[in-house]
Amino acid sequence: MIENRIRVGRIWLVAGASFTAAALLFTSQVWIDFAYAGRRLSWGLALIVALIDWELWALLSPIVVWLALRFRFSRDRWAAATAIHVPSGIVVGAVKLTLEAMLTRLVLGYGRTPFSFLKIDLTLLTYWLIVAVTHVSGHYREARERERRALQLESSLARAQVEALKMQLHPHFLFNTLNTIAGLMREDVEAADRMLAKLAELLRRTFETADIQELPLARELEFLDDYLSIQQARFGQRLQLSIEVQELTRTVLVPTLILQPLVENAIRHGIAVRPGPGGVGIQSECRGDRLVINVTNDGLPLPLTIREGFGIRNIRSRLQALYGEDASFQLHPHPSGGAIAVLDLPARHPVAES
Amino acid sequence: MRAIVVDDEPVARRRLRTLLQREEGVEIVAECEDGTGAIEAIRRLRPDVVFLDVQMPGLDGFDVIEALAPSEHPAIVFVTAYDRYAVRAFEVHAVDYLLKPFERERLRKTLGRLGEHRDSHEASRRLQAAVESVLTHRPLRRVVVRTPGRVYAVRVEEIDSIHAAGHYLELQTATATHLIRESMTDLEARLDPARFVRIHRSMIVNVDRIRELQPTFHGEFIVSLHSGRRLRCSRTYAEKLTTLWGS
Repeated sequence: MIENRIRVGRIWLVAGASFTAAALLFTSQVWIDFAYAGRRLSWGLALIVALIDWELWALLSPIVVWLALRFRFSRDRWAAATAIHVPSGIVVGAVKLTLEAMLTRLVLGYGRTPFSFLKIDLTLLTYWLIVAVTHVSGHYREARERERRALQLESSLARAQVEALKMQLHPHFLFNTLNTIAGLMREDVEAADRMLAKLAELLRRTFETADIQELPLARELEFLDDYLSIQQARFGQRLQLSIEVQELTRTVLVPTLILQPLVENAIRHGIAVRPGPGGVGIQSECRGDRLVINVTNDGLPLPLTIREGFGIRNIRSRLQALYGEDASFQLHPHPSGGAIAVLDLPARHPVAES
Repeated sequence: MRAIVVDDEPVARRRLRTLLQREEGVEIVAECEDGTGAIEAIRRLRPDVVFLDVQMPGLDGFDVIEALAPSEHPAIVFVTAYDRYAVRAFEVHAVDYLLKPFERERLRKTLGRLGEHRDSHEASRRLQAAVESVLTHRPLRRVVVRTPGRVYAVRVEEIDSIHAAGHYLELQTATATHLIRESMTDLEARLDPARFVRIHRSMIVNVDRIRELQPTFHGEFIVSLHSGRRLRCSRTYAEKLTTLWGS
């Protein structure tokens, strides 16, 4: 809103300044025109006549800009745009010339002479010039916007990677995991071996951060699996995991590392902050052309289990950057206590490379 | 030596038990998985030593010590994976602790120290000093509210925002307003600076409860909370708020 107002204000300023500059340049032209017709104007009056000529454009340009934005010359609609702009150029030009003639007559007592066809040409040319400038600056702005969005996507992915790294290198998680391995070594060498390998895998991946924005759900779940089995080994019976993944959702693309902060949140609030067993669930299903993923925990029966940490906010901004309004993320208290996080994305599949 | 092992992670409990069972003269009389169970077991069994995990769901290690009377204090060995506040306090007040995962030698050394003749009164005093130091230095977890009728606690994560009102502070939660007699500066100093931020001379907000920040003219912000409440962040505090919220 505010940004729009600033932009409109700036356009007015630039347009007004340009037209005033044109008026100053054309003052001598007006003086010569009148001299040829045998009328000697003072330089002051010549300036006023030139100002009437050009500042009328400053008044009319918002209409022209609006028309140019409304009917744009794109590849598939240039015919329609031409059909609008040819007659509207003539109408705007006629209005402008009429107003100009009336105002000039008001100031000088007689009309601008001689009235040449050159004037009509120049008027039509100015109309098309405004249309062209609007068109080009629109393109420029869109390109800038695309660039900004790409940068934003890049930075939010980088942040998600840093978050994942922080989660895996969180001293509490890391030292407790090492302690669990130390404990398992005396009871079950195989289990200790497996857990060490999983921890290594988890750490390795955090050092290999790729710039991939989206990947199939199956891959994202693989990433989670190492983390979940470590947590399962730590908490034992206290962590009751339930993962229900509908088969056809496995190939759907999801943003990289989107599930990690959700699952970490669910474990932290469902298990780590309260005594006794707790459940954490992950479900995915396709509903028409939508992919819906739920992450649930049956933590404390209070709304305070919802802590909108940085990870959650980053999820929102990544969805916005990747899908615009076509994706949603909601986090609310579960009817039976705990919390439920719902991701709703367009079900897109990777394009087969040929 | 009669010992109790307290840890919320089963493998960690079993590891400590296995290690302790190999040592001469140590008998494990109970294992507990949370603070409440630990308090009950300590009162009932009167052990000589308790290996007490610091981070636990519900009541943590320090809450257990606080809940017991000094006369009920057994010898305590704190066990922690990582806790910078606590470890500093243990060092300062010469309280025994083990860092997970610990070596067997380290456990032996600790047991050796416990076996020496010790002034239990002095040990209890040091323990209390350490716990008190941790509780005052680490961010506040709950705020105690005193009304003529009753005294109760509000958990800090429930607080949306804090407003100055004369000599009092109003704690706004989703459902109620609580009045406490404390100064803004004193309370701010004890709150977690990663969660609570000053947005106005007379206002503190819980960043986890912020839904949206809207910039307005002059570098100010309208802060919309999940509860629907809208607050104004003045320019002086705007930068700190935006960095904290975006971090």
